[in-house]
Amino acid sequence: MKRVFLGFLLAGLLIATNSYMVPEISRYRKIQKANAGLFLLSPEAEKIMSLDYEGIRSFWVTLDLRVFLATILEQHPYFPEWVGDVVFKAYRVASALNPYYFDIYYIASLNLMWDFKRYSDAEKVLKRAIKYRKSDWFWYFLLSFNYFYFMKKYDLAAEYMTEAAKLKRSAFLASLASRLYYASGRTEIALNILDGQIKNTDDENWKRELLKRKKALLGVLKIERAVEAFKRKEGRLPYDLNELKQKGYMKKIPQDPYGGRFYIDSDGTVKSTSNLVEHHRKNE
Amino acid sequence: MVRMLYLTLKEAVKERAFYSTLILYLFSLFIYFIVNDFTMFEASKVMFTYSLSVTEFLTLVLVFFLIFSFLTEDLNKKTIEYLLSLPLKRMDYILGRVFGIVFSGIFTSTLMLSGFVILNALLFKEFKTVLFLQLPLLWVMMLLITSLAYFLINASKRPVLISFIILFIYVIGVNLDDAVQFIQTKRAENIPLISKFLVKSAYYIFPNFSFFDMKISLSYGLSIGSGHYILVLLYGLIYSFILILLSILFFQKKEIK
Repeated sequence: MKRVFLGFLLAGLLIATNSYMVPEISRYRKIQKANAGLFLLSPEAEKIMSLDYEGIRSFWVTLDLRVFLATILEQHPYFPEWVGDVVFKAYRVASALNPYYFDIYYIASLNLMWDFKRYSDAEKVLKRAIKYRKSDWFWYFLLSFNYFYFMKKYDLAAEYMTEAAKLKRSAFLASLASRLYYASGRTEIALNILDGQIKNTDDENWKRELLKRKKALLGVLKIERAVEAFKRKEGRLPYDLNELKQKGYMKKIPQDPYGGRFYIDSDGTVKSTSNLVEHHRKNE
Repeated sequence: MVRMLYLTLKEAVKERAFYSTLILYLFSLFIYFIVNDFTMFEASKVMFTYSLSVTEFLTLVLVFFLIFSFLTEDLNKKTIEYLLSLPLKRMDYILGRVFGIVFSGIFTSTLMLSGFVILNALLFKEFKTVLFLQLPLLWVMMLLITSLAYFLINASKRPVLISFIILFIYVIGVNLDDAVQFIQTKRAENIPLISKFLVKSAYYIFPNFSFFDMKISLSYGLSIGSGHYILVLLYGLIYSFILILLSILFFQKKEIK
């Protein structure tokens, strides 16, 4: 009886000690971690240390990174710059251990893009994701977004969006790709992509939308060719579309089906006041 | 040999390590749900990796403990003298012990992975039988480790030392392939030639355990060439066969008082 009592007493003491000490130690570790970052070895050393269990270690590193980022946000209003290095290192380690692991590419690329403005590092992350997960349209889409939105590399954005559209068999993504090609000054490629999509689309509403875009891009192409011919002959850019018409480079000024008006920008690129977007959509 | 094998199996089932492994397995099933909750995307693939990793880890732990336990029993408590006084060939002792331990591992690993596969099927509606392809690789790995232990019995009478050597060889073997790939890269230009030579030598001498790791490929549905798979199995089987032959050869001549 005495022994049972003593056993319960000791167990109670253990629980009481733990409930006092564990939160204290945990709080200290949290602060320490938030100041020092994650303790990670080089990818090679991590591979050695994880023996044959790289998949589990990769999961663990990613989880550690998620906890770490959450801890940082508890203590700072935004991510300090050095945290970007931690994210990139965690990505290098986790993706070296398991290059097929979705979560690490997702967390690293989005954080590097939005929180740390490290676009070329995000590009590296996404290119590695594409290397190992070739059939995922999502990485092509995200890389295209990075090129378009942050890096302003429209031609690359268009190429990766085209790949995303092919993999996802998405007419919407193809339409986006064609817009990116138009933005990068490659209208003919944009038209080719649209033609392919029009042929493969069964949805009548979507087909109508694609035909509308095709009509707009045909107008752009017609003006681009006229501007090119004008430049070759006159040695300068035309003042406006009317000059092209008056001097016989174009019989008729094309109409923008999106309700805007085509014009020639100061660098000679053909644009529209609608930006090739429906007016009601633009106003939203 | 069959008698010795039966005896080893019987002893293995009585071992505490056997039950401890099963308890650890039940605990890992509990952890399974926690890991699943912490996964953001493609939870099924992460859990397939987890299932294979836990199965391999627990089976290898069991095998290590069984080896250590039998060696302690046989060498320290002199059971080996008693066993060899029975109408039993020395070869039968080695074969019985090696295959007894391996069969215990085969039983345990099949049981554990089946449990995980059923759990995965219930949770993700995906009956991933392809995961079972890791089992023969694990079995060959166990055979290699056990035959290595019974090869070393000829060199030392200390179970602790033998166990440490096996563990050491296992750690080296798991990393050999990566180490050789690393010394071939530009980043390894500053590594002294002698170190590179040592790594290369070890590569051709020690068993290369990393070849048997196809966990990530199986979990993520990557293609594994059947030729490659068979070649890896053959590599392990031939290596083990040679080790067992050498063990028998030396053990025949070993003086046991």
